[in-house]
Amino acid sequence: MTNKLISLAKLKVGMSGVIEKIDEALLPHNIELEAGELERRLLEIGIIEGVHVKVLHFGLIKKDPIALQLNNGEITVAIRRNEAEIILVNQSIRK
Amino acid sequence: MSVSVNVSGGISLDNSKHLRVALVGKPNCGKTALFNALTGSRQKVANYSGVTVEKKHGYFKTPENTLVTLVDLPGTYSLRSRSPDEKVTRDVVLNQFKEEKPVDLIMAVVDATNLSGSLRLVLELKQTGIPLIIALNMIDLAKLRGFEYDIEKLSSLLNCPVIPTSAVKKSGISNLVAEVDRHDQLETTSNRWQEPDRDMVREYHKEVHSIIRSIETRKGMPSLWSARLDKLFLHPVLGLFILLTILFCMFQAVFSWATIPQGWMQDTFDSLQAHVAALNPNSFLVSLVANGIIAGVGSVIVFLPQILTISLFIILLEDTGYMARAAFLMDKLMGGVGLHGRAFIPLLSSFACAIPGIMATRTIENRKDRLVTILIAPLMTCSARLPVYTLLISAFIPVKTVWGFANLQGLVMFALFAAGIIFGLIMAFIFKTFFFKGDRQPLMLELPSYKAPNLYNVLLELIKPAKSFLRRAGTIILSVMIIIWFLSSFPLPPEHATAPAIDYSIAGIVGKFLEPLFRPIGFNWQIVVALIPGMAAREVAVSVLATIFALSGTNDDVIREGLTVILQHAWTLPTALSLITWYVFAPQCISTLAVAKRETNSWKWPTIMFIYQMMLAYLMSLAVFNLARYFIH
Ligand SMILES: Nc1nc2c(ncn2[C@@H]2O[C@H](COP(=O)(O)OP(=O)(O)OP(=O)(O)O)[C@@H](O)[C@H]2O)c(=O)[nH]1
Ligand SMILES: [Mg+2]
Repeated sequence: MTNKLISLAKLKVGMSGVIEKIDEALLPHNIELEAGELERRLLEIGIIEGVHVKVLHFGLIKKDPIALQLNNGEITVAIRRNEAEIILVNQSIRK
Repeated sequence: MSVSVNVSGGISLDNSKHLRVALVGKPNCGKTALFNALTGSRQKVANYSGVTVEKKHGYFKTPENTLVTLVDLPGTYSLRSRSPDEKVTRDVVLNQFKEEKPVDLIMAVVDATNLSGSLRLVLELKQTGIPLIIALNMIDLAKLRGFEYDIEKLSSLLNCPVIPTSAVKKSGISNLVAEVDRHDQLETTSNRWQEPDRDMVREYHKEVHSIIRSIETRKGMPSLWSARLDKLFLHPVLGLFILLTILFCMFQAVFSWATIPQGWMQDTFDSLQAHVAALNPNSFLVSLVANGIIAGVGSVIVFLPQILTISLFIILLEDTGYMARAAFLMDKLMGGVGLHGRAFIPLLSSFACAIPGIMATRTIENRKDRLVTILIAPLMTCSARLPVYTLLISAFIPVKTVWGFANLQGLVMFALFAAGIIFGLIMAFIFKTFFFKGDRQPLMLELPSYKAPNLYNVLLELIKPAKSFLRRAGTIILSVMIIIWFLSSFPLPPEHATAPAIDYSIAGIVGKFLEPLFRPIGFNWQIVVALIPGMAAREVAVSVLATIFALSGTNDDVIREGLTVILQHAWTLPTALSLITWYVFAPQCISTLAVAKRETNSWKWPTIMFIYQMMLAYLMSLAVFNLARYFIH
C-alpha cells in the first residue's frame, strides 16, 4: 500500500484511516471564521491528528454531510464535505 | 437517599458550612442527570448535546452538615466558550458574574465511554486553580461495553479524587457526596487558565492520550446497536423516509388516539355545562359559570390528550438519541437556506413550544444564524395551536380515509405543520440573503449512541407540559374567560331587542368595529373578538369562540350540539381555511415575543418578528380565502 495522504472528503463509505494532518490552509473557499478557528473546532470535537477515523454514512444530496466514527467507535460525529477537505488521512496504517 | 434536603430546612441550621459547587463537563455526559440525583430536582435530561442552556441551582446537604448549592451548567468542550450557552459555563467557572459568590469546588463530569473527549476539558479546568472532584459518569455503560480503567492511577495522575458514578442507576452518588465533605484537603491555587489556541488544544490532547494509555486496562467495544440502528436511520434514502414517517405518524396519532379520550372529556364537560345552566336560566352567576367558565375553560382542557400525544413523540425522539440524527438528515435542507443542521433541533423543540425552542438557539455559535433561527421559531407549529387546528379541522374536514391508510384529518394537520416548516425555511432564506449576509457556518454534530427511553424520565417530561397546560387553563385562560364573559354580556341589550344580547355588548361592539379590517380575509366579528385575547395564550381563541357562541344562542343549541357543529353552520369553508392559515403564521403569543426580547437583548428583533409574521399571516389568509372562494363557487 502507498503511503499517500488523501483528503477525508475523498473517502467512500466504509473506508478508514488515521488522521495525519488537519490544516485549514487547504480550505478551497473562504469562511467567515477567524484564523485557526475551524481547525480548533474540529480538534475540540475529537478530530485530531493520530485518531483513527472511519466513514460511516453520507447524506442524500451531494453525499453531504458525512458521519464519521472516531477511535474505533468511541464517538460518532458529523461534519460537512467542505470541512472534510482540510483533513488528511493515511489509509495505509491499520489499527 | 439522605442527601436531598430543601433550602429552608438547610439554612436555618446553625454552624453549617455553605459551599458552591459547579457541575462542568462536555455536552451530554450526564451532568443534569447527576444534578437531579444529587439534589432531587427534575431538570430536563435528554440524549443529545445542548439540552441544558442556562444555569440552574439546586441544594443538598452532606452527612457532615455542609449545605451545598449545586449549579448545573450547559455542556462545553472548552472554557473558551464559542456560543451563548457555553459562555454561561465559562462565566460561572471563571467568576465573571460579579453579583455571585465564586465557585468553591468543581465537580467535573467525565463520560467513561469517551475519556478522550472528556479529559481535555478536565485539564483546562485544572488550570483555573479551583479544587476539582471528578465524577467518572456512565460507568455502567462503560462496563457494559468492556472498558476497564485503573481509577487510582487516574486519580494520582490528575491529582484529584475520581469517583465512578452512574447517574441513571444512582450508584456512586453517596461516594461523590462524601468526597465533597473532604474538599478542604484539596488545594486551591491561582488561576493560570488561558484560552487555548489550536496548538494548545493539540498539546492538551497529547497529554490526554498519554493519560489514557497508562490507565486504560481494557479497551471497550463500540455500541453495536447504535451502529446497526444508524445503518437504518442514517441511510440516505431510507433514513429520510423514516423521518417523514415518524412525523406523519405523530399527526395521525393526534387524530386517531387522542380523539377518543377527548370525546369522553368533551361529554363530561357538556353534561356539566347543561346541568349548571339548567339550575337557573336567568341568573348571571349561573351564566358566568356555565357559559364563561365551563364552556370556555372546558373547551380548552379537552385538548389535553392532543398535547400529550405530540409531547410524547418529541420526548421519545429526544430521549432515544434520534434528535441528532434528524439534524443530520435535515442538514442539507437547512444548509440550502443558509442555516446548519443543528438549527433543526431548536426548531423541532419548537413543535412543543417556541419558548424552549428559542432558548435552545443558545447552542448556535454564529450570531446571525442564531437570530434567524429565533425569528423563524414561532412559525413552527407549537402545541398551543393544536386546539385551534383540531377544532377547525374536525369541523370542516371530513373524516375520510385516503390512499387506503391515512386519515384525511391527520393529513391536513401534517400539511399545516409542513407549511410552518416550509415557510420557516423560506423566511430563513430571505433573512439570510437580504439582511444577514454571510458564509455558511461549519457543522460539527456529535451523534450520541442510542439509549432505550427511560420510562420514569418519559413520564416526568410528559407531566411537565400537562401541568403547564392545565395551569394555563386554570389561570390565564380562566381569567381571560371571566373578562370575556363580562365584555360579552354587558351592557345588557335594550328591551325588546331582536338580535342576540351579545351584539349589544362591548365585545360585540369592538368586534364589529374591527371587522372591516379583517373582512378581506373572511373573518367575522366573532373571530376578531377571539383573536385579541388569543395573544395571551393561543388556545384561548377556542374558549372565546365557545363562550361567544354559548352566549349568542337563543336556546341552548351550543350545549346540545357542541362547538364543532355550531361552527359548521356559522362559518363558510373559506373562512375556516383562512383562520387556519392565519394561525399558521400570525404572531399569537406574547410570551414568545418576550423571550425573543430577553434572548436578543433588544426590542428590535421581537418587533421585526411581530411585523413580518403579521404581514405574512394577512397575505397568506387573503390568498387562501380568495382562492377557496374561487374554487368553491
Ligand atoms: N447509562 C447511563 N446513562 C446516563 C448516565 N448519566 C446520564 N445518562 C444519559 O445520558 C444522556 C444525557 O444526560 P444529561 O444529564 O441530559 O446530560 P448533560 O450533560 O446534562 O447534557 P447537556 O445539558 O446537553 O450538556 C441522557 O439520555 C441520560 O439518561 C449514566 O450514568 N448511565
Ligand atoms: Mg444538562
